[in-house]
Order: sequence, then structure tokens, then C-alpha cells
Amino acid sequence: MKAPQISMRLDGFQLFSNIGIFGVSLLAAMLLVAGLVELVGGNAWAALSAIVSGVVGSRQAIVETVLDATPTALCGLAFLIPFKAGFFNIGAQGHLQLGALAAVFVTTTLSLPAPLMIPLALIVSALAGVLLMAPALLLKAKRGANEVTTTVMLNFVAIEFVLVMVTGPMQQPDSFFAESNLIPSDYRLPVMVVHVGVFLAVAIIVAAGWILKRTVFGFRLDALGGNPSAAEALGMRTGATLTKAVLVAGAIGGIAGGMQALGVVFQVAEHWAKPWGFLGILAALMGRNPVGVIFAALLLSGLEIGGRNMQAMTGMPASLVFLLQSVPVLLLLAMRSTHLFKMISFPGANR
Amino acid sequence: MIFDPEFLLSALRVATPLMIVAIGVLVAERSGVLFLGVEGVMLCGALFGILGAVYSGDPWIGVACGLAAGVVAGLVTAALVVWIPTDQVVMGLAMNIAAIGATSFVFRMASGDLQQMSPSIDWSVPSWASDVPGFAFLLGIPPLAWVAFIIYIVVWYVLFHSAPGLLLRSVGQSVKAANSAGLNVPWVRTVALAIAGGLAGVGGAALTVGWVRSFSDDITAGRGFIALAAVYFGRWYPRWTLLGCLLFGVGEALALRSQAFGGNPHLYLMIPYVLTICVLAFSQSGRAPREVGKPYEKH
Amino acid sequence: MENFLRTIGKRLWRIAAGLIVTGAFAATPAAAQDKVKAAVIFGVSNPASVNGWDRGHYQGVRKLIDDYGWDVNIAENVPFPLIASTAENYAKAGYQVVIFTSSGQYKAWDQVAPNYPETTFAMMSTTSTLPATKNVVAYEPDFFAYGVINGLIAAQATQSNKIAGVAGLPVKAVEDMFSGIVEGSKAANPNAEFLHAISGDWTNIPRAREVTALQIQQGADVVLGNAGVGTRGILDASQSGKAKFIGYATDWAEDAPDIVLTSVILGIDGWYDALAKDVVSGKVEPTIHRFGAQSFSVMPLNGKLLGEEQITKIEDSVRRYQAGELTVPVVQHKLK
Repeated sequence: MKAPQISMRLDGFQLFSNIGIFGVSLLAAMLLVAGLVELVGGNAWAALSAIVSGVVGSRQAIVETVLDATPTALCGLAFLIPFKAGFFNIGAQGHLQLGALAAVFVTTTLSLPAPLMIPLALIVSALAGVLLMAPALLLKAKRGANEVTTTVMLNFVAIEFVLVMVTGPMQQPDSFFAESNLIPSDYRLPVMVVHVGVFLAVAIIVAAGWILKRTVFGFRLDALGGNPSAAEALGMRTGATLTKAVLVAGAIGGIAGGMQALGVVFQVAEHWAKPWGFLGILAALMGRNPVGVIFAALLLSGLEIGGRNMQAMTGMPASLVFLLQSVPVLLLLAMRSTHLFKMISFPGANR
Repeated sequence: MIFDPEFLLSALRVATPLMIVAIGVLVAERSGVLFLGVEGVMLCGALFGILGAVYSGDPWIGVACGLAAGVVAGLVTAALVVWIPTDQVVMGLAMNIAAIGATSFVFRMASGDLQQMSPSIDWSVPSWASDVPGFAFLLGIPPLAWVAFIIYIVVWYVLFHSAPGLLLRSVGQSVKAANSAGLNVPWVRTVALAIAGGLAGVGGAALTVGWVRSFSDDITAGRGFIALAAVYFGRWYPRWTLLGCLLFGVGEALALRSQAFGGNPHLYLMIPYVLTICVLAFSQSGRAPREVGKPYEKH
Repeated sequence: MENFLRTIGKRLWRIAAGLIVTGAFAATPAAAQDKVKAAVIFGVSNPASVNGWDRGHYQGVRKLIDDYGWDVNIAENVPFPLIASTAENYAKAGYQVVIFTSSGQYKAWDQVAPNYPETTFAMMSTTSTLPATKNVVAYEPDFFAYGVINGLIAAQATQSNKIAGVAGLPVKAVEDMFSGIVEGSKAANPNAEFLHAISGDWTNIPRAREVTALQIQQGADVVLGNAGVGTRGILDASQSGKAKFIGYATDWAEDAPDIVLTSVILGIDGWYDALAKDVVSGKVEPTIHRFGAQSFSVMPLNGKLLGEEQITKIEDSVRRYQAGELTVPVVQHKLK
């Protein structure tokens, strides 16, 4: 499948209009939620202020948003990199699950000094992601099996495997819940306002952005996605490029899970994960480049965290949280793509 | 105990919603639209199916409501994805989340009325027939499975042996060629999405009205994506897509039965997914309709 | 056009700034009132509609609101990674009581309670340990005894001598309950066989449905469903297979009146009652309060499904067990 060419020109006016559209989408979504809140007998103003305070009302709120955006952004990157080469990686959720499981396994069974253990745990979680990605890649390469099918199936396999572990060998003894042991506090990621994994994630994303834009590998990836046959004809080793991109994506998904385990939840359990993998895909396509993914992830997380605060503090139905998260995205993208906007941003063109 | 008529019926019950949704996805994909929002449309059909069935007392009216909800959702998808147009993947995923929110909200409003089960759509086996083994089996097949089989034959015929089907497929294969042939690509895709949405809605109703007779938040739980995967598995051909859905049904039925052998039930619950991947490992690749995923830009 | 957009942009920034300022003010805790301010954390959406465990807790919450006049907020659909921060936000906002409704929230309880000694953190679910702090309390049922009552009823109501139990995941509470069922049914009817199965998920309705259908195919004519949201699927399979259903935790008679034989009430609102009394009287101690056989009750059995004689026999055996006259050995059975 050919990947659509993505590019994002950042001229001043376009940026400003983007922000304007962003504001309008946000406002429209908040109005919708306010309307529904009034419909069920709540107080719209209380709800709206709870949304805002949930995101920026305190330092903790901002920390929560950033912590939630981190796996989203990493999974977004895990989708974006192979996507440039025309490979649809829907498997980030599964890599995340296995990555977390691997990190928990390593930190609860082995005994090493912390400066060795934490990097080891992250490496192991990256490997777990690669391991889960490998069958999808192999099947695509050898059998032309569509990666959408394989990665979707592997996601479910990963989730069930984690459940096997937490109801079996890795279950916390005497626990009343299907959960693993907690990672010992020595092995948890140190916290500087947020856990250091956040900084590592930002570093990975920025590095990826640089690699994609300024190295030969990035160029090869674009060529592969744009016109595979031309790339082959030019003598590029398309197989190797695709393999690297896909496996790196698997590793990144795994690291996302490892970071969640080492920095936020400190265990794996039944239903422990949120759908960061799928939100990541959303963020990837909204952001279109690694740095944009960060902003998109922050937006998605902010909406959810704010919405959940509203739900908890005002007792409104949880369904509003889903609407608050998705409606701005729909509006934002609809408006961004409208011909009207295109006419504005490229004055003089296409009239 | 493992392979008996009841097992096949169980497999069919699992497969029926998937089959109907998958054929809808196939129609959309053949016209060049990546129907990632299928999960959300299926969920809408599931909710409105139950609402229709409970409020009218007739499960088939529920199915019709599911169909209507699906068509509306399909048209909304078309508006966003074909007419504006926006990126199909993002829109699909965002619509899934929006659907969870919207259906959950509406369900909450109606949950008092939905405490009782929806009326059953299955045919009851008359007492004289229960001793005739074949007959009981035939009556045990979910009615919507028959509907699914009929839809498959119809879609196969129309898509591959009729003029409208050729037009639809050509839009999926080459927008430029279709354009120069005078086809109005957005309209063709809108019709395709209306059909696909309607089928996904019926599939959702098949899940709630036709199978479990209840609704709960996110009851589809990824089944829409399984149906999507089945279409890719089936290389965009109806017969292989059908096979993929049936295969998954067999896998899940098998998984639930294998618990009797002891051991961790979750190990067995991996079976349907592993089975699908294994079958993929032994089959050949297919080619996607070339225009799938690309927004249609007239300019 | 450019000017227009610039003006909109400016106005939007002003509105946004206004909202942020308001939000910052709204984040300050409310003034203390006479009403006790409490919060309850649920993992499911709309707990009132999920018959069984969650509705039982919802009924408990209503007791706090209606009988004790508390001001209670319900957090629902809280995902696992956000449970701790939700509890923390409540504590920071000045809530006096924060209630957890599931053993899966234990880690959050353990993590948050020590940091907010002014707030009482209550766990209304099975636990064997308490967080190392004074402002905690737990209320839990004796699931084995609960299972025994279920077993007594099921084993005497079955005509095929096969009873079925379906649960979501094989956690300890489920193992205790199923062990109780095995022992209880043995005591009432040694010929009865207990078939058990796991649906794999607390929310998956189709899987629970098919697992139950399988058990009914194997001959079970009485079904005990403990699969959370998925129990709706168990109801459907029971209706299709014409098996009798015994409801879990709350009254299930409304859901499928033609097949619900009875429901064994877990008495969750009683735990909330006890909590309210303890909080109001200031006697909250770090203890695990266990509710045993006497706290459970059985809804009147469906006269259309069983003869009067049988019903009397069943009710009598339950009464005897609750009074301690009928002893059932406590034996743990492994499910896996």
C-alpha cells in the first residue's frame, strides 16, 4: 500500500490559523459537553471548570497529563516510522503490553544494582516489542500477509499472554486481584517532577525526528513509502530499510510499555493498560512528524485527563470523556482539511 | 464434546456478526475507502438494534434500526472522509472513540428500560423436531447467519458480475481512470459507505439482538477490527473474507471449549488469533485496491 | 479574511485565559459543610445498570446519600493507571471519605492513604492486608460462606445433578466462592456435580454467553453467574437453554423473570451502613470487617420453577446453615 506523502510546512500564518482552528474545535467540543451536562441535570459551568482544572489547575494535573501523553507519543512514533515506508503498524498496543510484562518480570525476578537494572529492564522491554513485531514482519516479507491483520491479531495475543502470566506464574501470591508483584522501589524510575522516562521519551522522539529528516535512512524510508518500485530500481535495499523501520517501531512500542511499568503503574494486571497504542496512531496522524506527535499526544491526554477530572468531581457520565476526547479531533481535522482552509493558507492558489 | 453440532453452532454464532460487518468493510475498501471507523459504526448498530428491539418488542425491527443507524453513521463517515476530505485513518479512529462515548451516553439514558433481555431472534425448536438431529441443528443456526450468506452471494454477484460493481471497483483501483470514464468518485464512495455502514450496523445488531440480547459499553470490544482484519485476510474477496470470519468463529468456540482440558483458560483464549495468523502464514498474498486509504482530491 | 481570523484568534485567547483562571479558582477545595463529603471509585461505567457487584455498591452509595445525607460523588469508568490520582484528587479537594469498590484498587489504596491522614480511605472488597496507616478500614464478605449458600440452593434445585458456575477471572474471591459452592452442594446433594468455567474477562458478554451455553449443553440446568458485566450473556444462554439462574449479589428477578430462580443477596449496602456508622461515630479503626453467612439473604424462590416442597426444603437448609446448625467443611479447591 502506498503511503500518502506527508509534509508540514510551518509558515507563520499557517501556524496561527492552526492554533485558531484548534481553539475553535476545543471550544465547540466543550460547548457540546456543556450541553450534554445540562441535559443530564448537571452544572455546565462546574463541569467546564473541572475540565480545565483537571489539566492545568495544579502542578499534579499537568504532571498527570504529561505522564499519560508519554506512552501515547511513543506509540505514535512507533506507528509513524513504518508508516513512512507504507507499513501500517497497528501493533503498538501489543508491544506495549509485552514490554511492560518483560520489564516487570526482569525487575521482580532478578537482583541487580539499580543503575544496571533499570537500563536492562528498558532494553528487555524493547526486545519484547521487537519479538512481537517479528512475526508480522516475517509474514509480510515472506508471504505478503497484510500487516493490518497480523498486528491486530498479535495485539490480542499479547493481551491474553499478559493475562496468562498475571493469573498464573506471575500472579502476586495471596492477591485478590489478577496482578503481578510490584516492582521494588529501587528499580522504579527516579522522579524529577515526572519520571525520567519522560525525558528519555522526548529524547527518542527528537532523535527520531532528526533521523527521519536528515539522514540517509530517513530519505530511504520516504522513498520506500513514496514509490517502492522506483526505490528498488534505484538499487536501495528496500528490504533492509523496511526491516529496520519496523523492528525499531516494535522496540519503541516495547519501551513505551516498559516505561509505564517502571515509572507509573509498577506492575501489570488485568486491564492495566489504556489504549495508548490506538491513541498513538491518532496522535501520529494528527502530528504528522515526530515533534507534532508530542503536541498531539499532549492534546489527547489533556482532553482525557481533564474530562476524567470533570467526571470524578461532578459525577457526570463517563461517556462525556470519550466525546470530549474525540470531537475536537474530528472538528480539528475536518476544518484543517476543508478547502476553505486550504484557500486561506495558500493565498492565490487553487481558486 | 469438542467437535459436535453444538460446537459448530457456537462457531457460527461468533462468526455471524463478523461476517456481516466484514462484507460491509469489503464494499467500502473496494471503493477505495479505508473503513477504520467500522468498530464505531458496529457499536452504533449494536445499540440502536437493542433499543429498537426492546421498544418495539420485535427483534427484526431492532435489526432494521441497527441498519438505519449504520447507514447514518456511514453517511457521516462519508461526509468526513470523502467530501471534506480528511485522513481516513484518523477519522476512523476518532469516530470509534466518539461512538463509544455517544452510545454509552444514549445507553445510560435508556438503561432503565433495558434491564430485561431483548426479545430473541432465534427460531424455537418445536418439540416434535427436537429428536430429529439434522433439523434441530438447522433451526439452531442463527437466522442472521442465513442473512449473512445471502448478502455474501448478492455482494459477490453485484461486485464481480455486474456493471455497478465494476464501477465501484474501478473507483477503488484507479481514481484517475474512473474520473476520465465520467464517474463521480465522491458519490460512488458515498453510496459504498452507506452500504458498508448499513451492513456494519446490521452486524452490530447481530451481536446484540441476534446473539447476546443485551448491550453494554463498548460491547464490540474490538470485533469490528477483527472483521476488518478478516477482509485483509481474505484479500478483499468475499469468499475468503467469509472463510476468515468462520475461521475466527471456530477458533473462539474452540478456545472456550478447551477450558475443559484444564490449565489456564487464557492460554486457550489466544487460539482464534494464533489460528488466523497461522492460516495467513500458509496462504498467498493479495493486492489491495490501489486507492485504499488515499483521500480523493479532485484538485 | 486575515483580519477576521486575527480577531477571532484574539477573542479565543481571552476566553481560554478566562477559563483557565476560573479553573484555577475552582480547584480550591470547597468550604467544610455539615454533610459528610465522600467519593466512590468504580471501574465500570454506570454502575447502577450493571446488576451484581457494581449495582450492589451503587445501592450502598444510595444508602449513604438517602439514609445518612452524605454528599457523594461517583467516579466511574476509572482506568487502572488513573485510580491512584483520582483518589488523591479527592483527598486534596477535601473529601472526608474515599471509597474503593474493588480489590483491583488495592495498590492505589496502599499508595495514597498514608499521604492524606485527614481522609478516611475505605476498601469495600476482599483484602487480607491493610495499608500501613491509621486512616483506613475495610469491609469484605466471606465468599466461601456465600458460595456455600449458593451451592445449597443450586444442588437442591437441580434435576440433572449438574450445576454450572461461570466467572470472569480466576481470582481468589472466585476461588473461595466456587469452593463454597462445591462444599455446599456436596452437603445438600452429594450427587450434584459442579461444572465451572472462566469467561476470561469481567466485561465480555459474548464469551460469557458461549461458555455458559457449553455448560448447559453438558447438562447443567442451574447456572450461577459471576462475570461482572458479562453476566448478561450468562442470562441469555440460560434463557435459551432453559436453565435456572441464581442471581449474584443483588436481585436479578427483573432481568429475566422466567428463569431467575432466586438471588443470593451479598448485602453490600450493609457494609456501607457499617462504614457510615463508623465514620459518623468517629470510630474508624484500621480493621478488616468480615461479613459472614448471616449477612447474606436469599430472595423468595420462584414458585413457577420449583415445587413448594422443594422451596421449603431449600430455604430451611439455608436458614440452618446461617444459624450454624448445618456445618459445611471449609475446603479450598483449586480452579486451575
